[in-house]
Amino acid sequence: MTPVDRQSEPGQEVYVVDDDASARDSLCWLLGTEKLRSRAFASAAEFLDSWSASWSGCITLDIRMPEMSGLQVQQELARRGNRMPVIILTGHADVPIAIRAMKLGAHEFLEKPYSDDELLNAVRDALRHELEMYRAEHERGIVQRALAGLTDREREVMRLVVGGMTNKAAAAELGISEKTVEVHRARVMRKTGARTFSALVRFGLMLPKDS
Amino acid sequence: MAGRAPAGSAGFCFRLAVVSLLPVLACLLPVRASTPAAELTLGVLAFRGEAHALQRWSATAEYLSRNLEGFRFRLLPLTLDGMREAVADDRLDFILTNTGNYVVLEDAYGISRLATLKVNHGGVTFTQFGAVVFCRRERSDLNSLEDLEGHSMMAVSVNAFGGFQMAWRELLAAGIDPMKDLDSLRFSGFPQDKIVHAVLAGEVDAGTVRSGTLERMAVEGIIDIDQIKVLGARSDKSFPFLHSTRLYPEWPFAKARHTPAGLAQQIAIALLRMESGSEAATRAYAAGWTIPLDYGPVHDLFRELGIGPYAELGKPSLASVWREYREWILFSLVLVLVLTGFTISILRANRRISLSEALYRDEAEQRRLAQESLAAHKQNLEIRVRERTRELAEANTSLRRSESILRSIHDITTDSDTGLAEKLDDLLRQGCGFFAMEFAAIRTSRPTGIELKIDLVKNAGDAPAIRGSILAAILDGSDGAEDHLIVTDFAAAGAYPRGPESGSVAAARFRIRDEIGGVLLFGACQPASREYSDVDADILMLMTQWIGEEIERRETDRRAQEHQAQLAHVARLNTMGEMATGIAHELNQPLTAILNYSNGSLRLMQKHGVIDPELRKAIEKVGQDARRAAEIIRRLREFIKRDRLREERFSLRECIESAVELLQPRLGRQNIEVSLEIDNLAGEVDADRIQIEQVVVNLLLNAIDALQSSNGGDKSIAVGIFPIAADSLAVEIGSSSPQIDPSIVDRLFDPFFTTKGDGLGLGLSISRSIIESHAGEICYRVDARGQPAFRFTLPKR
Repeated sequence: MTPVDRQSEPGQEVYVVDDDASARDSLCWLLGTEKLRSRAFASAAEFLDSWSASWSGCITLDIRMPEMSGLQVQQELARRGNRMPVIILTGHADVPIAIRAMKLGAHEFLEKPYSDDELLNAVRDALRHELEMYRAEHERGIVQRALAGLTDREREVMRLVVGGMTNKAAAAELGISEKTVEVHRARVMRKTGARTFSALVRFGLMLPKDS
Repeated sequence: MAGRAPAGSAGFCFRLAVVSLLPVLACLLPVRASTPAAELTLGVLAFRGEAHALQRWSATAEYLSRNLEGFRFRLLPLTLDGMREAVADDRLDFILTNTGNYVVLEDAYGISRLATLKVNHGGVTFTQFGAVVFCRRERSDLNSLEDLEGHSMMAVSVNAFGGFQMAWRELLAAGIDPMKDLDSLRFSGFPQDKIVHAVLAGEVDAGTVRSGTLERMAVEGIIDIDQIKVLGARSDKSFPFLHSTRLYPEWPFAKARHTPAGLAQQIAIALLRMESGSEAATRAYAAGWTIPLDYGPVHDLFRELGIGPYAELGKPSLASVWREYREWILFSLVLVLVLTGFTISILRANRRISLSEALYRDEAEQRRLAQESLAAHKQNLEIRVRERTRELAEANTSLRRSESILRSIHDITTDSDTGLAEKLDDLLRQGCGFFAMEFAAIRTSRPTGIELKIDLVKNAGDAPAIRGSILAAILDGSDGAEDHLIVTDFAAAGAYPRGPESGSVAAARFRIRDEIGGVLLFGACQPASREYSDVDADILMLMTQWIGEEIERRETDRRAQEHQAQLAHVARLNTMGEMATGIAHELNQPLTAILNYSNGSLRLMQKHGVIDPELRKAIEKVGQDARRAAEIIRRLREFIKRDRLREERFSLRECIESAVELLQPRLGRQNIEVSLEIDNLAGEVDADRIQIEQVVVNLLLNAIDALQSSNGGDKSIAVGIFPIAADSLAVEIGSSSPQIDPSIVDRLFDPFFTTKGDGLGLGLSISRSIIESHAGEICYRVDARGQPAFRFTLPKR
């Protein structure tokens, strides 16, 4: 039915936290029909007790639960440095609660009963979002290690050319020959793994401000 | 779009400055040059031309730019086709489009809505709309949608959601396929006014336009709405406009798939906070934005019509569905009846709410105290009468009159069968006789809220004029510090420039709450016919003292009653609101499950290629009915929604003192000491005073109940107010009762949870709702002394 491909990555799971057994089980079942893996928790405490920073995926939280509200769980998760997007589900939407959930970083806010499209779109979007965050961080780590391995001169050349200078202008600026600049530039490309100039510009953003 | 990212590069449209805000994402962005603010592109549907779209939405773009530091919004007006292309090419970050178009784009390109527009029509806001099908009033041959068969009709365009597709769905349901069964179907394009004119001019038999259009044209004086007949009219209490179709959610504000979630959150918050009456809202003909509604009904429409995302599906006939699935509809009617029963039982239970009872008990207690004070007053008067009688007996016989007047005063003031007005009337008559005067009057110097315009005139003539000048002489205070004034002959006295030329007076001021409250006077147009002594002055003062005290007592009673009535009213509303919320939550859980299973089943059938149209229709109906039940619950909640908070600045201390005073009778009966510990830094808050007082009353009543059942020796309640963090105040109410059983602490704030035999279990739940709606928090804790306490916080602002 949907022309857009929105599959989850292996390893990602949907963590369903809801005190109501029928709402919880039916949601896991619905996710299952779309081959989305899920884990159910009957209370905030059960979820927080087993939570691990190594989990990957997204979390659906019911706002109104005994003992600990969804908003309190959100706060606790933020305190623990949780990276998974949180989707808030609520049986009674009201604007102040929505604003508080959003301020606590909720990815989505859905009113029960939600439609399947709404819920599945929100879950896929959250999973994709988590993946992008992960990839972005991963790439940054690699590039930063590469940048650390540059010589001072290479770093200077990189800074000038990604700032928009031609090889010639950079050579004049540094008082070296254009040929030398070209050699340094090629080395920078190789060390950082940048295949195109635009990739190099992107990596240039991660250079420290002063060498 | 200068400086935009090259096409195909993940489609991000904002630039270098994003780095400071979203470093992780920004490092993925291709960058050309740095600019002060990142540009975000907001595509808006220009259904009435670019100029109109810019006029309508530019203030919204400015509002968002203002509220999101580091971003600038660029408006891009687009046609329906242009919108699709722009979204497909990832050229837009945010999308503002009509409901139908949104659902198409959501399905095809994964855009998702952040908020739903609240449209403003004449001061009332709506988040839903429909369409109206109409003809001229005199067309006696056209009375329902079915009658349109073989006639001509005009709509906006085949792609117009409100301007055609809504009516299309209803026509199909009425057994008419507008593409086949009409004589002709013409499309006018925008503006929709053209359709109304064409119908009135007789160019076509019928037309369809978005709801509200006819009313607007009537208000503008363009048409006479009485010339119009609505076909297939529906009625909906919460939606006053003429409409022939189901209602659908208003325009959404959506984000593109690539737009980062953090940014979308900030936008959603800014939109939800947009105030009605702000320029952005007004220019958009809106009252702001609300939490996104469910656009599922729009999917249903497209599915039924087999258009938009469902172009490949066949069209089911609604009429046949109705015939076959009558029992499902009957089932939902039964559900409606059950819910109505629920409502009635809520109303009944509400009458018995415990707080009201407590308030009534307190009122009775106050009455008793008032009677006691009256009795004390009587006793006091009796003593004075006896004293005076003794003095009088020793004095001149002329003073015997005084005894008689004192007896009269005593009898009048202590008579429990007469009201205040009658008492004053009697008092003035007796006074006239005693002082040998012609007229008497009472004037208050400020409104007391009590009917007090007593005038007694025995002898007309010059009386009113003289009375006026006597009053002037007394009330302007030029007579020095004396509280009373007796002049036997103004002509001879000569010391009263504003007084009358002749005549006499015996007058005295009375005091209410230590301020001058008014004056009691007896006067005559002639010089006095007898001499006056100190005894006369004393009697005058006795009369005014009683009048002042009586007015003061009544004012106090009236204020206390008004306050109690207000508290009881708020308590009733809160109880109903809390019950509705509780019921909505409980019923929405199973409804959510029904929807999940029915929708999931449809998905599985689709996936496994199970093609059984009968089965599919039945499962679809299950989902539809569950949604309808959810809608009924939503309306029930809206019906008894809490009044908006009436915020004012007030001192928390005064609020707490007022609550303690209200409960003083109960506290006194049980010998409970209340101590206030208030930090000097504790100040004022902006909140709804009555609601906060209700919370304090609830917590105090709980403490009193706990102390009552504890039977311990020392009974005390401690109330503390102190600052917590830089920007909020905390109120803590603790009592010397035993701590709450740890096994139930987690459920204290749950609705309907109670440990009292006669409680409804809503007090703490209501208190939590009130505090949370003020952006505060409430919790139970054990304080430093090991005593149980409830603490709530409020932002200081």
